[in-house]
Amino acid sequence: MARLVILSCLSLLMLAGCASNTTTQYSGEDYSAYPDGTNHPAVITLFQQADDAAQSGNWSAAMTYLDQARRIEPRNPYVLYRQAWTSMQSGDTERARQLLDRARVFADPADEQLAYRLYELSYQLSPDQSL
Amino acid sequence: MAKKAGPTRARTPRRKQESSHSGKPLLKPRKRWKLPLISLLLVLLTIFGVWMVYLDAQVRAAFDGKKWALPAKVYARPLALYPGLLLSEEQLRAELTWADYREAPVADRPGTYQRRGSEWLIYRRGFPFWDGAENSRRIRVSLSGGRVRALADDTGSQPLLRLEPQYIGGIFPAHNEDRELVRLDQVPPVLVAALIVTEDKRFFEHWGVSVHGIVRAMMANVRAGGMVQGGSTLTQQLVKNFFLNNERTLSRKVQEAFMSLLLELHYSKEEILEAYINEVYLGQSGRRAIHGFGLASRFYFGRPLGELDTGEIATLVGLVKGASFYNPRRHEARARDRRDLVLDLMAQHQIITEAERIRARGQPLITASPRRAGQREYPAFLELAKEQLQQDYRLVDLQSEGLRIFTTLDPWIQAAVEESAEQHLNLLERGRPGLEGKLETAAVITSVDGGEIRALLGGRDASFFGFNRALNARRAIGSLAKPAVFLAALRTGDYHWGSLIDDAPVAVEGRAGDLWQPENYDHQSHGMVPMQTALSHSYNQATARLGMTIGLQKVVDELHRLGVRESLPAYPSLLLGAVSMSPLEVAQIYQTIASEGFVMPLRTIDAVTTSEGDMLSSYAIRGKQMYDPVLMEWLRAGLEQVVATGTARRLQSLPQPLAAKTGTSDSQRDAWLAGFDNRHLGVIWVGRDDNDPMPFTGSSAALPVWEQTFRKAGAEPLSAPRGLKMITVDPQGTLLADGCSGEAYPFPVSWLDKPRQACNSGTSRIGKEIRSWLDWLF
Repeated sequence: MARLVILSCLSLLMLAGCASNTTTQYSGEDYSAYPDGTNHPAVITLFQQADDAAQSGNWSAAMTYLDQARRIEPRNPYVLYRQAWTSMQSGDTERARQLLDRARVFADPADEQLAYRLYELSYQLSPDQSL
Repeated sequence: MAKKAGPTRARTPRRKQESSHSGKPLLKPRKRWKLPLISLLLVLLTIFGVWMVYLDAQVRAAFDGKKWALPAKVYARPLALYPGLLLSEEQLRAELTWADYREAPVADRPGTYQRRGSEWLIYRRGFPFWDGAENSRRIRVSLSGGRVRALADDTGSQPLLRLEPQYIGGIFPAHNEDRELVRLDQVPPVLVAALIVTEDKRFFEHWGVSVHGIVRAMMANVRAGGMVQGGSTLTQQLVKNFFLNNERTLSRKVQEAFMSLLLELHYSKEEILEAYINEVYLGQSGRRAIHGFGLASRFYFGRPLGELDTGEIATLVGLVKGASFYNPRRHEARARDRRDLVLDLMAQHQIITEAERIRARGQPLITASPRRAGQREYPAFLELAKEQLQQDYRLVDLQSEGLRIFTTLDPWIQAAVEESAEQHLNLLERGRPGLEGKLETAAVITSVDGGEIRALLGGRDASFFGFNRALNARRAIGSLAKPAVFLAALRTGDYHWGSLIDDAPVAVEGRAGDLWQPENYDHQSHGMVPMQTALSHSYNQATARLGMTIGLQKVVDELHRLGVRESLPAYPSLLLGAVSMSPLEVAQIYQTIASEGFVMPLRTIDAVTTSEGDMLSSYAIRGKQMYDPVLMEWLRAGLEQVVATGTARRLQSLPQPLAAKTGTSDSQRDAWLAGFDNRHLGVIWVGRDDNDPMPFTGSSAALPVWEQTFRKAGAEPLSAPRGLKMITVDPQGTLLADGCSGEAYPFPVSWLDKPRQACNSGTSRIGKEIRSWLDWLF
């Protein structure tokens, strides 16, 4: 029941987003503005390098920087979320789904902001199955 | 013949000339003689011309484009340094040594480091990493309590820095030539000058062939009564190595001379010199031929050309005359004499001062070990890397394009497993006549969270390019199959670790009427035992009964879900591991368990770049979720008990908890241990190539190798499960209410909602059900 309520709220939020004419596509700014969850300086550095690579459309390099961040914090769901997002942007939706699943495994259920991000990404990957 | 014919022909025209004053008709015979000669000359000239054009085309075709087939260079992972990294002093020192760094009182040049208490000053070399070249820089690493406490460079504190990765091998073309290309401006001018005064003093004066040199060589050879000196210029030597074979015939010599002239016609002296410096053969390392000064510098002295001192430069130049004869490792005295001779020449031609000459001559000839990590290869890992690379790249490109391959190999873990295996196998064989040298081993170490292969051991001799047991030895996995049986049971929802299962003798009739009657290792039956005990102590009878009760097909399905790709026969003996797999395949199964239920491809490659450093492809984590992570944590809890109380309890000497399973195949032909800590999964196999039995089990032969490897590499306890809670059960396995006394077992949180019995109120419902299903037994 609680899940249903959360899902309904999220759906409403998304609809509200559409109504106010905001795009459902992520911009690089949205993505890079997202916190890393633990503030590990090395992870932040790698996030910045990944962002720079992503800005220039070099998804492959962005993914490798994020994979280095993952090695430093292998169960940081924020790293996995970014990897999923980057995979989606590079067109590798299969890997995006896999990493999204992995991010969910390690996400703190109390972290609503992350839950929302993961939901949004999931919706982008499979609009039919997410709702 | 020609000499005899000559005078005759000469006389004839004279006579005709004498009598020709009177009239023209006498000219006719002369014309008859001249015409064929002119024709012949014309034909010869045409042939010569065509030959020249052919040689010219050959020279230009080879010299204009890519001159060499450059093998792919394969590197280990670079050591990423960041505050908080688990890094012992021992590891840092080893990593620096393997990357050919030298400890110095002051780290004032790239490739050196110094220590000041817990602070390490490292002058890191420049390196073309996968994401771009980094210049050399001085970095400061502070260690404390086995971790990196602080990190800085000249600009201040840094969050992340990396050391250059270790070279771990190449993917060579058939001729096995290896070289590290250098540009002329990267070569110390002293080396160029020394090379010229030693090999070809008139290099900048001649046109590819030196008449002076040939005359000098001929005179020396005549004096010595044999071939003691060659008159070849550097250009001729380059042509010989580059275009021709080693045949010593006059025709080849003529061809060499013409090609040299053509080369000089088209290309500058600098271009020729640069090609020579990269082409020249300077040594051999096993299958690998060392070409060029760039690679020779690393091979003999463990440093790039720019870091060599005068004596070392002279030694390399001396090698040109005969890389084998003057090999500084094998023939030190000879090489030193040759070096001193080159030093004398250098001083004589004012390349170095007299003081430098004296100082350099006084230096001992110290070479880096050819077996050191920075030059040795890792055949087992390379084989798998090559196999995986060929999914995306053609072999011919890997062998010729000079690609840079950045891999997942962790040399620190690789060294740990190699040393541990070698030491323990020697220990096992000691005092057992007939067993010496018979034991073999294989190992796979991966990262728990990413499926990166960190170490791979293909056999006892880690440097052997041959049968790779980690990939190709398919051996019975024995009790390593048991977790799949228990997992299938847990998944049904009818079992938990406290459920009672029967360890009574068991017999199953096969389709052909044959009987399968497995026994426990201790030949005892243990009656009704909790499922946890059956796994911890690896009871065969209990596992067989459990597997047959839940259904063979379910266990087969479980193995497939865990990552087994090949079809498996649904025979009862499968329950106890009568199925052959390679250590890599076993690692794939346990990877899924260790990574919370994600089937991850075990990969060796991180990134591939061109020789110029442009990224071609990168590989990051992949993994399909096949299990609810809570179910995997539940299985892991059972494997933790194998270490806490069961057959792998010798691992308790390491930080706890750890998860592991021992395995011993029929007649003790194979000994296994598969286990993981918070960071790494390790699968170790020990057995004989002839598949004969051994007087060892998984826990006595394979476990100690795992233990020692993880001790050296640094074991990290498993993190606490997130989805499990402890629930007390009664001796029959019935769940009891909170506060009851009894044995506590881990359960998924969802089990808290199940009905639980009040304290001391009766027997297990589940236990009864299990026993009633044993009707397939007789």
